[in-house]
Amino acid sequence: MTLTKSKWVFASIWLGGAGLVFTILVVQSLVGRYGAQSQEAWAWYLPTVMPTLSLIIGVLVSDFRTAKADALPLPVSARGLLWLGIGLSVFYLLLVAVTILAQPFVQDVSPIELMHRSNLWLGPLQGLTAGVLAAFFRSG
Amino acid sequence: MDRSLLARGDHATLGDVARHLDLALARVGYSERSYYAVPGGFAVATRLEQITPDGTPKADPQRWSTTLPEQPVFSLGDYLRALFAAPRGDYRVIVFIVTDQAFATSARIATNAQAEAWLAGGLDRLPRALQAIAFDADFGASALVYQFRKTAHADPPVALDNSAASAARQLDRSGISAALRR
Repeated sequence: MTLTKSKWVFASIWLGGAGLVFTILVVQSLVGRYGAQSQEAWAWYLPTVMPTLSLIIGVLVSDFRTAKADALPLPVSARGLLWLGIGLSVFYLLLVAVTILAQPFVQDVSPIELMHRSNLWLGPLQGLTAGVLAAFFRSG
Repeated sequence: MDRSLLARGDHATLGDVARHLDLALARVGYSERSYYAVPGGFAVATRLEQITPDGTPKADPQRWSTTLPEQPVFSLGDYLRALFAAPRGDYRVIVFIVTDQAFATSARIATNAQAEAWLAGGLDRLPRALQAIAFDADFGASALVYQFRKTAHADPPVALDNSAASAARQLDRSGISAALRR
């Protein structure tokens, strides 16, 4: 796998996962699922995905502007980080999606309360995932 | 309301009316109610209860809960409805007014907090002085139905200007009309 391709793998995972949750939140906000608390739902979602997504998009834009060759092979030292980053990203985005998709099954807790609770595990995991991704991009 | 629902015979007093109303309300589950003296008579307020859109009380314990009802998930359709549809809870307080004076309802809308406070703010029974007053032909009885709707877990129930079901229909659905006829 080339370096550029591996960066696009991360972009695909994050755009796909974050995009799915984004679409669900848009529909839920339009139908009034959160009542007057739509802003709180978005205040939970945006910091949950935007920092890492911005990092990935930033790297891709930077590559595009500096016109790096896209066929550079992935350094051996970065292969472990690539798979660790993919694993953590998929796991993290699954947890983000589950916070929304599990709402119908945990009706004794309000959706906003569920989002607040999820920050307990999403916060540290996001830091870890972003750290691995940053290390991977630097290694390239 | 039809006067004959509240008292039988020509010599009934407000005490008789209150007892009959009390018994009828207790029969259909309104074990908590609150009495108020109003100009020329009295008022009875029921506890805030959760109802279906047609005015039928929910089953206990959901009936007396202000939390939004759970949406059961047995199929994909149920799941998608629970995920995307705004949850909705309908609530109601009924106030019976028995008075010999004409009155008009205010244009101001009662809030959910006010309606809940009505239960705590009144007396548990009609004062003796009022009980002795004759329920003569000048007296009339009205049932005011205050309806509220909640559409999000953290939002308070909001008063509805107009409910889909009329007050008479809601008295039927609540079982109060039938209990009063017994």
